Amino acid sequence: MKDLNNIIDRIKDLFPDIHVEIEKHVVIGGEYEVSCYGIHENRSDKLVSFIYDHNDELYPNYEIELIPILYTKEETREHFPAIADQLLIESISRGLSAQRFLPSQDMEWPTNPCVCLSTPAQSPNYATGNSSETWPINPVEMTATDETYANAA
Amino acid sequence: MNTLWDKAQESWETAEMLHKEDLYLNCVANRFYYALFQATKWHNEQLAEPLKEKTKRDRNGTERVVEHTHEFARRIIDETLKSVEHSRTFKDFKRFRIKADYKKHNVSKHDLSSYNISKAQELLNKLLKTGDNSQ
Repeated sequence: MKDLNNIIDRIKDLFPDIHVEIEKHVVIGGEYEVSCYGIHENRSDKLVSFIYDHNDELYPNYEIELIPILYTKEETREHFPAIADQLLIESISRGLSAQRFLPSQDMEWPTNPCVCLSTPAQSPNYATGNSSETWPINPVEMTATDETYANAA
Repeated sequence: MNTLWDKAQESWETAEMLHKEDLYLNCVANRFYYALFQATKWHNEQLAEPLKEKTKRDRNGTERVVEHTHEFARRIIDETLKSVEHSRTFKDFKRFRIKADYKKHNVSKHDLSSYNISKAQELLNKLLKTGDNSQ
């Protein structure tokens, strides 16, 4: 189907911290579920709009209906722990890559990569000792500006 | 008596009652969606020229419906109301219903926010006002 395979890539370009799968779920017709795992709830509307807009743009004659199914970070952790683990690894990996380009390049490289992700300066929860948050701070979310998301719309 | 009009009202009122009591959000999402779906079918039947489901001829020359009933409802909304807002509302409640009925996770209060429900109410009113024979 036209461009269907590219949709995952386009979503990942704008929402690099989530996992996306597309699955056809009926025999008749063209309904496809676009399952998005690990989305932050306050970004869910933007992601849904993005998928709807793509749907209208790519399939104006109703050949395909893309139905966004969103799983928050907490829901992903609860119901799909393997995907949550994978996202955690990717998040750490991106954090280490991003750290290379920070101005404090000459600082000593920490032996524990988690230190990069949740120093007191970056994580209010760490500073206040609130350990209820099990999901790591995502360095991509921290470094992205509002303009990044505005361009994504 | 118009069964679909009544069913749409019944589905909506059931959803509203449960939602006010903060009960069974998955069932609430299901009933809200079906209220819109039933109202959409009723609305289409009231049109001077109702839309028809898409068909194709098979190898034997028999005409077969190839459009899923819920996709057809989406097309009715898009093509007869021509409102981006109403189309979005219908799609939103469709995905809430899929989440409610088939998925591991639950419909949330965020999904069924006052804003989303008010949008659905607007759409329902628009659909059920079609024609002058609404009861």
